[in-house]
Amino acid sequence: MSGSVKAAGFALAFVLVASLAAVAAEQAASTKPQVGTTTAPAPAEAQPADYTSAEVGSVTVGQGKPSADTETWPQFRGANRDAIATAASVKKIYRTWPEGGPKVLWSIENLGEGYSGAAIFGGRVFFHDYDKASRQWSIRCVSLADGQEIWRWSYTHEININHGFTRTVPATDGKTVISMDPKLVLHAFDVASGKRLWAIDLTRKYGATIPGWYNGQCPLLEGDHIILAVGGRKVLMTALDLRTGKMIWETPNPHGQPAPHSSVMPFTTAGGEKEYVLSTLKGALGVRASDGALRWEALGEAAYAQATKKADPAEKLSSALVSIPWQPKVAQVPSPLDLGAGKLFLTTGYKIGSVALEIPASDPPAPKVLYSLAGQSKPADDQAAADQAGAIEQGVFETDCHTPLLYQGHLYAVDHGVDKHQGVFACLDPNGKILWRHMDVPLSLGTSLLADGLIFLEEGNTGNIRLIAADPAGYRELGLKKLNLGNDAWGPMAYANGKLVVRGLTKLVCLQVGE
Amino acid sequence: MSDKSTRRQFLQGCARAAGAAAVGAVALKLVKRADADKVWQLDPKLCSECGLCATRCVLKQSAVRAVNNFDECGYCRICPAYFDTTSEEKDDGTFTRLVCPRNAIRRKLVGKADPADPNNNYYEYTIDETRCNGCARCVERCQPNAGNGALHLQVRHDLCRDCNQCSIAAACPPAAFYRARLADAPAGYRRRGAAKKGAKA
Repeated sequence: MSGSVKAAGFALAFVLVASLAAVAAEQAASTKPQVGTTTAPAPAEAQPADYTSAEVGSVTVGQGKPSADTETWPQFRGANRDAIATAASVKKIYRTWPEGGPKVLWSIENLGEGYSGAAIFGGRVFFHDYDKASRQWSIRCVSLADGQEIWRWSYTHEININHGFTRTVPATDGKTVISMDPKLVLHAFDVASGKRLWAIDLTRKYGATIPGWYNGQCPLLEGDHIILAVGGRKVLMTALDLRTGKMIWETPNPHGQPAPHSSVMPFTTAGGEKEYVLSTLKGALGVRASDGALRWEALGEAAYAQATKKADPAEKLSSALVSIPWQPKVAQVPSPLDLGAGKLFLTTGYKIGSVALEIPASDPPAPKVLYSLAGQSKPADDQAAADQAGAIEQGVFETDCHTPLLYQGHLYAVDHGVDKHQGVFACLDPNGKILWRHMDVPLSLGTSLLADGLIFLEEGNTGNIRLIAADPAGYRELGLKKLNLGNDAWGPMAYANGKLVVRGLTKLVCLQVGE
Repeated sequence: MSDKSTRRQFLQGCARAAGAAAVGAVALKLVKRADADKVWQLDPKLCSECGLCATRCVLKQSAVRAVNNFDECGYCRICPAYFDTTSEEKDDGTFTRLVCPRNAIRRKLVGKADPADPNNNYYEYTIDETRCNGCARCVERCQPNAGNGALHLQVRHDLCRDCNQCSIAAACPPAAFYRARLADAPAGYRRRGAAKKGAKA
């Protein structure tokens, strides 16, 4: 009897010690700052001195197999960087949803907190993850059929949880997949095996500074070229060979444009010149696609004053330099949007607002401001009275995180300019007139994706998906799927073959939204 | 007979009135005692950051203070509730003006600075309560999406005069003030009042 009591005592003590050890381990693994501490917990494995070394990182292979799906969502905002799905299957998307919404095909839980959305190619889904216990950053390749892991490449990478660990969407042509990690390291992997092919550390190679809240830029893939804004001491933008990482061209950085949170976007000027455009904390700029020549910079007043003050009077710029009433602050996250006919729409948060530019046919093309929209509405009390009167406040629009959708000449986006509202869905005409705002659903930093006139709208504070008709006449909701992914569901969505891949803060979900 | 009856009735009436007054006094005492352990509380979920807490309190420096919920705070280097992001930007990416008009927010680096990644170091933001007057400017700037909503207002019960009718509550547009038992107040907000009232937090 006393023996069994002793045994029970030992067992209880063991359970207690084990529990305390587990709690201690969890606390040690947590990267949330411990107030008053002076040192960070030691990583499970030493961080490599050179992130690009061939010895760095390892591949683990899983049981997953690529699905037979052939449609692709090869990079951030899809093939055309417009967040619009155009593949054949969009005609078979369910236009009415049953009670409870479309079926969840699969989900992956317990991801490291973050916003990394998916790229899809050849039945494979690529996204980024972070394991905070081992401090391992990874790119994962899973099956579009069932979410089973095909491979995962990981390496030790010390990252603070600074509004999530992961960001950005990989880009792939089906043979090579590229990733920008939070600390500005660009990696290229073999799609079939997960082996890393090459890597470039932008901080070392170009002297770039890691942005606050880490890198948010998603590399642009154009054929065999990767287009990347590096924001280095001398180099502003570069084109690299996808297979080798070798430089194709580089754009000088005369006015010290920083590494951005936003991404490089393709654009065509009024003169028909193809450019790569970018918005940064100083303003916006355009680079000729064929050779990387800097064509124009439109800087906010403060950045323009700084640029012209430092300029050598004898120096003659071959690019246009103009001042515009728009300069982002704190973070510039949405990317420039091509409105067509040489017009460009720029928007940013923190009460800065939006501006539309025309990039003319002149050489060099000096941007002209078409219109600008303030970043903050009237106070909520005044707004409530105006709302009751049926008025739609004009002249105000900004979006903090996601680039708007452009569909049949109208913009659809989450508007963060409305006082006391955490983002409401809005529709604008191309001249900046607000056609409607739907005030009833707070969207936080929610995102949207369009397919065949339908908008999948993700609520940023729940991950719930609303199916909306893209209609300038008004907000028309066709369905609701409650995913309850929790707060900070801010990652962009991806679509292929009737499957919508949705990113929550710690979860990836695949919905069957069509045949 | 009718006179006697009238006198009896008068005495009975007096007795009834005295009894009722006694019962009323006891009831009033009980009600007062029941309310004695109640304090003015502020529901941060209802607060509209209107700024009246700083100006309507009967005290010269309001009994309301900003409080940072560290579990919610992002510890960001560029905190929109600390830096006035509409002011001129410095070379290091911070800003020339602060949000707090009374310089009541303290900013301190947490852990070691990483010179290779200066933009992603953590900073702790604490309120200097000797300066804060509950104006809510920082609370407003901390609202999502720019902030996490970690900063919010609370009544400091060691400072509050416990007025029968709180003048801030009377003016509060969203009616965010309410009376609550001290013991029912959220744990983090009990200490100061508890020290004054001699109750356990």
